[in-house]
Amino acid sequence: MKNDINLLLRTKTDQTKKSKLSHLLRLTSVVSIAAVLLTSFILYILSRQLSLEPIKVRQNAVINNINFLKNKQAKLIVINAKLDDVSQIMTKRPRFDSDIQTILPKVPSGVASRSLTLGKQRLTFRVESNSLKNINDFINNFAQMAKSKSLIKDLTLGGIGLDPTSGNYSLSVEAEKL
Amino acid sequence: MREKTNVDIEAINFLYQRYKEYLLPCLVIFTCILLFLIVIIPQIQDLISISKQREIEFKKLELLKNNLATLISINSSVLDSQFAVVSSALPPNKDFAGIITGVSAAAQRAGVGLNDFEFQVGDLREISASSMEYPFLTTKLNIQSSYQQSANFITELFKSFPLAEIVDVSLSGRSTEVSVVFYYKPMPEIEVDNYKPVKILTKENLDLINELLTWNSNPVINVPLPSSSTSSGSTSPF
Repeated sequence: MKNDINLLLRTKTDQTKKSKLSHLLRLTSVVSIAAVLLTSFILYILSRQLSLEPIKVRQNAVINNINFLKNKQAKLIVINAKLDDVSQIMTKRPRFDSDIQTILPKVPSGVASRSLTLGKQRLTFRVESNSLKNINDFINNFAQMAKSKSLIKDLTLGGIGLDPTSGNYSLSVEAEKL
Repeated sequence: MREKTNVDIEAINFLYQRYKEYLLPCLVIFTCILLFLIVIIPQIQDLISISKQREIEFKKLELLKNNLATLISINSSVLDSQFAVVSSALPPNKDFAGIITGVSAAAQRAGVGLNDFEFQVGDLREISASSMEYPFLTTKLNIQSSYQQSANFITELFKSFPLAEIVDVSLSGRSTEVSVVFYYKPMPEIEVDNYKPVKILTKENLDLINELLTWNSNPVINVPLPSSSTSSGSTSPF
């Protein structure tokens, strides 16, 4: 008997196949439902555990404690800001005292200082002496300062004059400060 | 006569009866896939984002705890004295009394005779604390001194409060004229942000305060703090 014309046998094979498919589908659907339920349950548990609310509550508790120390915090902010300002002011202040201390030793003995004007950029110095040699030493000293870039960077002689009544020579110099 | 029946319904009914055992599981699987795509995947994404947010919030909490610990560790009396010193060095307004005291003390320490003061009051407008410029009060001082004493006086003035800057010096014989500016700066508007780390004083700042303390022979002034605003929305303790 030929298989392809055996209707009974064919039906049995089909039935077996259909039954297998049906079983597989049912199993898959049950597994799917289980997977969805399990995943949902896990997600629910995780979302409860990963809630931000407890952290926020703890943050607020710490902030409340910090608020009692706001005065300290504000003072600290002011001190920091003021210190920045103080530091900036102190950095930019010119030291005229050290300028005077640098200039005075450069005045030779026998030369009298008549006036000294110090500014941020320039200095003007007027001296008197009864000896031209002393005046010359004074000019040399200041020229050396300008050459070695010590306090001043150039030197301009204003003029030398003679007071006939006292016999004193006067000299004024101008210099640009470094 | 036979009632009219809808062929489509019959066909559907027939197909349903024939494929019933496949249809229900397929429907269940399809629904599960839909649930997975529409509900569960977005929830997983939400959880990932919440987890990241949680990490951020934990870091904020740690920062707040550190801020609290830092603030607790600061000694109030030390902070008060530091505050008083910086406020004396850079007062919030024109401190005429402080200037007179500072100049007199500097003259005394340098051993020079102080002739007269001349204040140029200057602009009386309110100056903004946010301005980067430092407002100042110009003063002309006449002293009786030698050049060396004038240098000493300037050194002493350099170390006096409020902070002074010599603009120019004119020495003539035994008379010296000094143009000085005394700085002040209004209190800045304090905005306290709890979520920013508390900036403690650095070593440089502490060194600077110690330097100022060595200068500070004048009585310190008591400066009230301006009202502060806070980003966390809590009430001001002042």
